[in-house]
Amino acid sequence: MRISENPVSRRYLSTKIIVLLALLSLAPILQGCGSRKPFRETRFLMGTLVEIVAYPDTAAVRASVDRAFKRMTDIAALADPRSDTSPLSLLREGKKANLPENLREILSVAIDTARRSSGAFDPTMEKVIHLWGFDGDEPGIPSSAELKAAMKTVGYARLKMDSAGQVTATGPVWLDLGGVAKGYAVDAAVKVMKKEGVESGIVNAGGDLRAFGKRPGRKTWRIGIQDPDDPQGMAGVLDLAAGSVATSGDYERYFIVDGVRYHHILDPGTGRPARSGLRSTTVITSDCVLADSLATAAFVLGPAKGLDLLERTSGVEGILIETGGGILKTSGVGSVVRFEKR
Amino acid sequence: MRSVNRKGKEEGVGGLVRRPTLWDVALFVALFVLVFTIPGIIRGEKGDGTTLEVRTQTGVATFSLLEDGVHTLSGPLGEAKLTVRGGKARLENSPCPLKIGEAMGPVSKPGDVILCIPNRISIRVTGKVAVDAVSR
Repeated sequence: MRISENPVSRRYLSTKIIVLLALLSLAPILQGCGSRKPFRETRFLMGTLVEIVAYPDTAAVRASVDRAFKRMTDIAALADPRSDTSPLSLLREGKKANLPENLREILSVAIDTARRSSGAFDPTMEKVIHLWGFDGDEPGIPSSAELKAAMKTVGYARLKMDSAGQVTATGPVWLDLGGVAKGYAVDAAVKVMKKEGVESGIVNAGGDLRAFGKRPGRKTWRIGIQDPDDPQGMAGVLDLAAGSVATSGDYERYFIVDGVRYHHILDPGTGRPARSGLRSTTVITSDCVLADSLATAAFVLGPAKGLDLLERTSGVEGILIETGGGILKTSGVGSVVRFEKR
Repeated sequence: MRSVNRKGKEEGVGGLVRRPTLWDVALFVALFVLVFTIPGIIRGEKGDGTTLEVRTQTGVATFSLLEDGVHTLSGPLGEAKLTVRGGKARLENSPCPLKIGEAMGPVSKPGDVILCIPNRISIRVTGKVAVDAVSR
């Protein structure tokens, strides 16, 4: 090579080779220093699959994720509607109940959402849900007489809670806090990890999720929204800086009899699966507990009233997918949160 | 401004810019690999969409999507079959009352999931996916 005959050029060439080798030798070091690989753990909990993704993957983060799961497990046990040891069991007997702080907060959100939605969401539906078998037993269509009897136990307005957490009810009340406890547990898990210094992550309890911190390698978290007609497809993708997303859909738990789909989102007004003209509702807000309950309420209310509820609620955005496939969005979708239709 | 070197060849602005040599190209390629490719691999999830990650209450197992076969998965409600055929996997003969896992159809792409919650079985195609999570 002519260039190497010149001593200056030869030195220049050597420098280049050294720089090249140095850069390549830096690769493993850069892998270690710049690694933003997450730690990912999945457990069956609260009747669903819970996944926690936390950044970065270190021993401390792994330990924090374990504690977050334990916190969720404790909340699940406390809110178990059929537990005889839960203070909620006293309400079934028509007695007063002193609720611990966690249950007080869960019930408070549940009652608040019930009021906001004029009863489209109701935490006193436990007997009706159990009758349909959507809580795990063999599902089936109850008789009209059975349904009528169970519906007599429904009515959030019969619940009274004072500031000290004492709950009283007129008559026996069967609470099912599943529509809020899952979201509350997600929030609690995030709180544990943030307090312990975990930089960022996602807690996803069967699709009710909360993202916190900055997503390494990207400006936003990308959250897919399930396509109601395709279990492996997405109706769209949200770009979220941080916050919670919860979806209620008629495809989650259902059975089909004589070609009719009976799904698990029951209308507190009828005790039967809500036929509101929606396939799914997705709610985006800061706290997962609120997103969770509002998604159910908006689903039961249907396209017009559901959208109105979400518009009226401060700091909340939503995406509603109609039975015919139409997509309705609150006014902040597009500016507050980016939604890309698939 | 144009300049000419001692051999009469034209050089760049003020003689500061010259034609890239083979070594310049090699350096550029090395830098490109370091800056873009390696961090991408670091951030990406392991797997190339040909592996199934199966979770049951007894632990986690992996199966290849490239090898046809039938695998028996046990859960608290009984046994279900995971059938792999032609690069697609589906859950069959599930003892779950609602059969939601079976209704989720076949999976083949990274991120595709089959969930059978009552029988505590989850099946996921591993690999880099376009989203961080899916709200269902």
